[in-house]
Amino acid sequence: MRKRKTCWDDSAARVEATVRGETPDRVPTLLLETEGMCARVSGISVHRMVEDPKLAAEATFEFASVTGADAFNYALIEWPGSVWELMTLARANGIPESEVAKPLDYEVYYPNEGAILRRIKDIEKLQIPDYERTPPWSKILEGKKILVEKIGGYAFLVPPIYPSMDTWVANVMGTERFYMAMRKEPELLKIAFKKAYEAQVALHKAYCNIVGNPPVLAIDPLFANKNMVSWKHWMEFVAPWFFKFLKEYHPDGLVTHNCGRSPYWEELITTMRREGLGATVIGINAACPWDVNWWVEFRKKFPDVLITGVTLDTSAVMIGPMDAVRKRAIEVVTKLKPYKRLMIGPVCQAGWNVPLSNLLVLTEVVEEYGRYY
Amino acid sequence: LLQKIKKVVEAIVEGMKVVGDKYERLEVFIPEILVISEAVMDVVRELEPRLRAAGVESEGKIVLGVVEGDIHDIGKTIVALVFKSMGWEVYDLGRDVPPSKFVEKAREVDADVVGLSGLMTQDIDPAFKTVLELRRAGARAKTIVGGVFANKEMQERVGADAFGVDPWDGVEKARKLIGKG
Repeated sequence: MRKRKTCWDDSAARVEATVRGETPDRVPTLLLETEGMCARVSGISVHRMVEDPKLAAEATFEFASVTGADAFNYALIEWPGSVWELMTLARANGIPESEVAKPLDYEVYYPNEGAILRRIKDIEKLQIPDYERTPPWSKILEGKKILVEKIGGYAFLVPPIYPSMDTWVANVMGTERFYMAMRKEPELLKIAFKKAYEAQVALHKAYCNIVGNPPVLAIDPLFANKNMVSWKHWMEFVAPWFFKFLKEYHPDGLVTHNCGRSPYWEELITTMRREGLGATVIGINAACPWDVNWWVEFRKKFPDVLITGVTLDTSAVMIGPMDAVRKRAIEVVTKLKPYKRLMIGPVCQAGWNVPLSNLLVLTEVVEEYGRYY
Repeated sequence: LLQKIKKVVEAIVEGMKVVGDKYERLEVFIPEILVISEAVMDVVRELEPRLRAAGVESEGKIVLGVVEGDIHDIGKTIVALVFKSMGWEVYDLGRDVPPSKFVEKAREVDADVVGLSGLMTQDIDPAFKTVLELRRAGARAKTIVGGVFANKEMQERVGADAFGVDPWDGVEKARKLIGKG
C-alpha cells in the first residue's frame, strides 16, 4: 500500500530550487487536479466544498496526501475565468446564481457564459465584488489560507491563476460575443478589459489580505492561441491590461498556463521580456506542441524558463493507458531533465476521468528517472 | 433564376474554402470567421428555401450539437455555419445535448451524419454514450467528432466514424462518409 504523504518540507525545497534554477534532489511533480478529482479521492462533494472552506481544504489535502504530489492546486481552482468568479459577480450584481452556474455534486459546476452581461453596452454598470466578503470567492480564499498554513505556499505553484483577462471577458459576455466584439464593437470590448483588470486587481488584493502574497502567479492568457485570435488582436485588446497588471502586482515568478492547441509561446515570452517582466522566473505550463523535441529546442532558446507539464495533455495521454503515460513521462524527463527547471505533471487540471494510477505513475517516473543526486 | 442562385451558392462554397485556407495559414482567426459566416448566413437564409423549392437537393443532412455536460459551443456554431454554406441541411441542437436528443433528431430527419462537438476531456464519455445510443437505436447516420483536441485517438475512444480538425476538414470527411468525397 502506498504511504500517505503528510509533510511537504522536502517538496517545498525541491520546488523552490527548481523555480530558482538551482539543482533539486529530483524533478518535482506538479499534479494539477480538478474539483471533480478531489471529490472523487476524498468523497466530499463539490457542493460541500463550495459551502465549507474546511471541507475544501480537507479534500485538497486528501488528494495531495494520496498522490504524494510535490505541488498541486487548491480543490476549488482559484481562477478568475472560473465559474466561481461568475457566481461571485452574480451575487454582487443581484443576478440569481442559478442563471450563471449549474451545480454538480462530483464535478466542477458548469458556467453559463454570457449570463452576467446580457448586453455589452451595460459593462460600465457591472459592480466589482468585495471579494473578501462575497462567496464563493471569500470562502475559497479562506480555505486556501487553511492549506497554505498547513502545507506552505510552494506546494501551490500554479494558482492563483491571474491575470486571466481574456477568459474573464469571454465568460462575462459570452465567448461568441467576445469574438464578434473584436471586429464589431472594439471600443466596448476595451472597456470590458478595463473592467476585467479592475476585478482582478480587487481579487488579487483580497487574496493577499486573506491568504498572503503568493510566491508565484500563474498567468493564463488563454486566448493567446493561433487557432483563436491573431497576435495583433491579442496585443491590442488583452495585452495592455494584462501587462499593466503584471507590472504592478507580479511577485518573483510567473508561470504561464495555456492548454490551447497552438499558443503564441515565443511571441509571449519575447514580449514579456521586452516589457521587463519575469526577470526572476517565467514558467510555462503547457501541453502543446505535443512533440517533446519541440520543447527541447524551446528549452535551448529560453534556458531560464521553467517548463512544466509539456505533452502530458489531459485530453489524450493522461486518460489513456498507464503504460503510455509512463512512456511519455520518461521521454519528457530524460530529454528535458539535463537542462533543469523542469516539473512533471498533467498540463491542465486532471478531471475525474483521469485514472488515479496515471497520476501516481508520474511520481514513480520522477523517482526512477528524475534524480539529480 | 435557378442557375443564378446556383452560381451564388458555388461562389459562397469557393469563398468559404478560401476562408478555410486562410485559417489554416493563420491569416484569419475566429473573430474574422464569425463575421464572414454571419454575412454568408444572411445570403444562405435567403437562397436555401428557393433552392429546395426548385427541387435542388442538399449535400446531405447533418445533426450537430455539443455533447452533454459541455457548454462551449463556439466551435460547433462555426461548424454549423460552414456546413450550411457548403450546401448541407443542418440541424443544430445547441449545447449540453443528451444522447437521447441526438438519437431523436437523427431518426426524425433521417440524418446522414451526426456531428459531436466537445472541448474538454470530460466530453469523451458523453460522446461515447451518444455514439453507442445511435448504434443501439439503429440510426443509419455516420458519426464525426470535432473540437479543440479532436484526433484519431479521440475518435477511436468515442467509436466515431471520423474526426474533423477544423470545420472544413469536417465537411470533407463528412462528404467522404456519405460517399461523396
